[in-house]
Amino acid sequence: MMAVLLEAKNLVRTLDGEIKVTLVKDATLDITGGEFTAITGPSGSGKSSLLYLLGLLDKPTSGSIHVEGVETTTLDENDLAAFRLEKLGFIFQFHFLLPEFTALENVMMPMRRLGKRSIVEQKEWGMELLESVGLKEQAHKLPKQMSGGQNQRTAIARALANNPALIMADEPTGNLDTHAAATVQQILKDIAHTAGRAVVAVTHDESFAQQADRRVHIVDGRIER
Amino acid sequence: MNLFLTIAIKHIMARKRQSFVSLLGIIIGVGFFLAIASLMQGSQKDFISRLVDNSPHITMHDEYREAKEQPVVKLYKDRVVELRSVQPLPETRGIRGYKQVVDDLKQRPGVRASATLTGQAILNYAGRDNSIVLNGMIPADMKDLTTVEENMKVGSVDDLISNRNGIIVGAELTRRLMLEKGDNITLTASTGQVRTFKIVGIFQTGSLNYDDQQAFTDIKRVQAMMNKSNRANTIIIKMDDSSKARDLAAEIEAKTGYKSVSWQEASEDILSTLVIRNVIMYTVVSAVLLVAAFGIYNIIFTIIMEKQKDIAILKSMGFRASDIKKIFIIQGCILGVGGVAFGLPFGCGLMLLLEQITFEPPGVSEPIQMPIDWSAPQFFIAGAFAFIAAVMASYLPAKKGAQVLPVDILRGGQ
Repeated sequence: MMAVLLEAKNLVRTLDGEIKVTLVKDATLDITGGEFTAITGPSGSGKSSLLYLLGLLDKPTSGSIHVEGVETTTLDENDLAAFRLEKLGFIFQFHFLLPEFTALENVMMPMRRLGKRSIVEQKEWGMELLESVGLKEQAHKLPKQMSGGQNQRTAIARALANNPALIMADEPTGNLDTHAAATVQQILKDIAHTAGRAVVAVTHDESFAQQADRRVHIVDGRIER
Repeated sequence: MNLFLTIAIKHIMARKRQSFVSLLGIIIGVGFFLAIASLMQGSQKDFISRLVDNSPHITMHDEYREAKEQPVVKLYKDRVVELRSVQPLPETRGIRGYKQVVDDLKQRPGVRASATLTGQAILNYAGRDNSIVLNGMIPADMKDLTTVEENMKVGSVDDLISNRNGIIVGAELTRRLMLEKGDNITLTASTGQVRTFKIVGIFQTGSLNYDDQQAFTDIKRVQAMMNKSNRANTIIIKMDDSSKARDLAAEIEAKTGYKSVSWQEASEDILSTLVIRNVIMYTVVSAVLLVAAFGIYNIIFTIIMEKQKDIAILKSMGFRASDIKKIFIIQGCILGVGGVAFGLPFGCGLMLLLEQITFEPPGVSEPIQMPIDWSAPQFFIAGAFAFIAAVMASYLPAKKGAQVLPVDILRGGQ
C-alpha cells in the first residue's frame, strides 16, 4: 500500500455572482501514490473544478486539502506557487506550450524556475524526459513545428520536469486523435505505475476512464460512490 | 541567461515590428529631449556668460544703499518739531580712498579690480550734440577687466597706453559721424571743460546703443574734465570664480559702506526668468517622452493580452505573481535601455545638425551659431527620464498581468 499523497476533506467551492453557483459540493477524496485516478462525469458536473482545487490552482470555499501532510488551504499565493512548482505537474486539454520556446526549453522551464539543477543537468534531464515520451528527435522544434500529439507529449514531459509526486491532467486526450490519445494514455499509466506517482485525470472519454485504477464519478458537483 | 530575461526577450522578439515602433518612439523622444535640452542649456550658459563676462562681476558705486541719516535727526532722536526738506551739504562725489580699496582687493587671490570714473560729455559735431558716456580707466587695467580689447575693430587698447590723449569710441558713432581712427573729436563735460581727444581705436560689441554712446579714455583725463581729481565713482571687480561674487560684494559693502552690486544681484530678475524658462522647456520635452511611454504601455499591454494563456500556464507551473510582473517590467526595461542606447546617439546627431545652423538676429552685426551645451547632465537627465518612463509604462500592465488567475484562463480552454 502506497502512502496517501493528497487528502481532501469536505471540499466546497462556490462562485459568488448574481446567482450563487456551487461547483463542488462536499467532496472528500484521498489520492495515493502509484495510482491512476480518473475523474468522470457529465459536462459541467464540476470535474475540472475539483481538479483545480486538488491541484492547488483554486482555493476551496471550505474544506481542507493536505498534500503530503501539509494543510494547503491556509497557505498564501507564493507558498502555493512553490508547492505547485515542486510537488505538482499539470497537463491540460490544450498543450499550452510557450510558442516561442522549443520543446526542450518548454520542458526545462519548471526546472529553471526551481533552479535546483545546473543548466547542463537540466538539459540532460529534459532530454531524458523527452526521450521517455518518444520525442528525442523533436527536442529542438518549436511547438508549431510539431503535431498535436507531440505537443501534448511535450506538455507531459514538462509536467514531470521537477519530479512531482502528483500529476493533474484535465482532459489530456480531449483534443487528440485516437492514435495519439492512446499513446498519451499509456504514458500516463506508466507514470503512475512505474514511478509511484499519483495521476489524477479528468476525462469524459470512457475508454480512457476504463484504464484507470480507480474511477471517481461526479454529478452536479457531488462525488458518487 | 536569467529565465525571466529570456522569456521577456522572446516576447519582444516575437513582435518585432510592434516592438520596433515603440522602440522608435523612445528613440525619437530621447533624441529630441536631449537636443532641445542641450540647446536650451547652451543658450542659457551663453546668455549667462555674456551677462557675467561682458560686465564686471561686482560694481562698487560711490553711493550708499540707504540714505545717510542727517545730523539733525541724530541729534533730536525723540523729535517733536519736524524739519522738512533738509538737504545734505554739496560734496565732491566719488569713492574716498579708492586707491587703497583697489590695492586691498588686488591682494586677494583670483580678484582683479580697477577704479573708473564715469561721466557725461557732449560731442559737438556738425552742429549736433551727441551725448557720450565717458569711461575713464587705467588703460593697463582695461584689457584685464573689460571686454573692450576683445571687441576692438580698429586699433588696440595699447594705443591708449601710449597716447594719453587718445580715446576709444564705438563703431556706430564713427559710422554716424563719418569718423575714422586718427581723427580728433572735442568733448565738453558738464563742468564746462572742453578737451580734444584723438581716436585711437574703434570697438564694436554688436549692441547699437552701446556702440553709439560709450567711449573709453584714461582716468586722469576724465578726472581733470570732471573736476574730480583723485576721485573715482566706481570700482569694477572681476573674479576667477564668478559664482563667489555675491559673497565678496557683501563683504566689501560691509567694510567700506559703499553700495557693491554683484552680477547676481544686478540680474536677479533675469536669473529667475531662466528658471521659469527651464521649467517650461522640461515640461514640453517631457511630453514627447510621455507620448513615447504610451507606446511602451501599449505594446506591453498587447503582449499581456495575447499572453494570458502563457501567464496562466506559467502560474500553474509554479511561477509567482511577482515573477510574472518581473517578466513584463524587464520588457519595459529592455525597450527603455534600447531607446536610450539609440536615442542618445540620435540626439547627438540632432545636436550636431543644430550646431550647423547660423542666423543673424536683428541688432547684432555678426551671425551667431546655435549654442549647444555638450555637458553630461543633459545626457543623464534624458537617459534617466526615458528609462524611468519606460519602466513606469510597463509597470501598470505588468501588475495587471500578474493578477491573471490561471483557473479563469484554463477553464476557458483554447
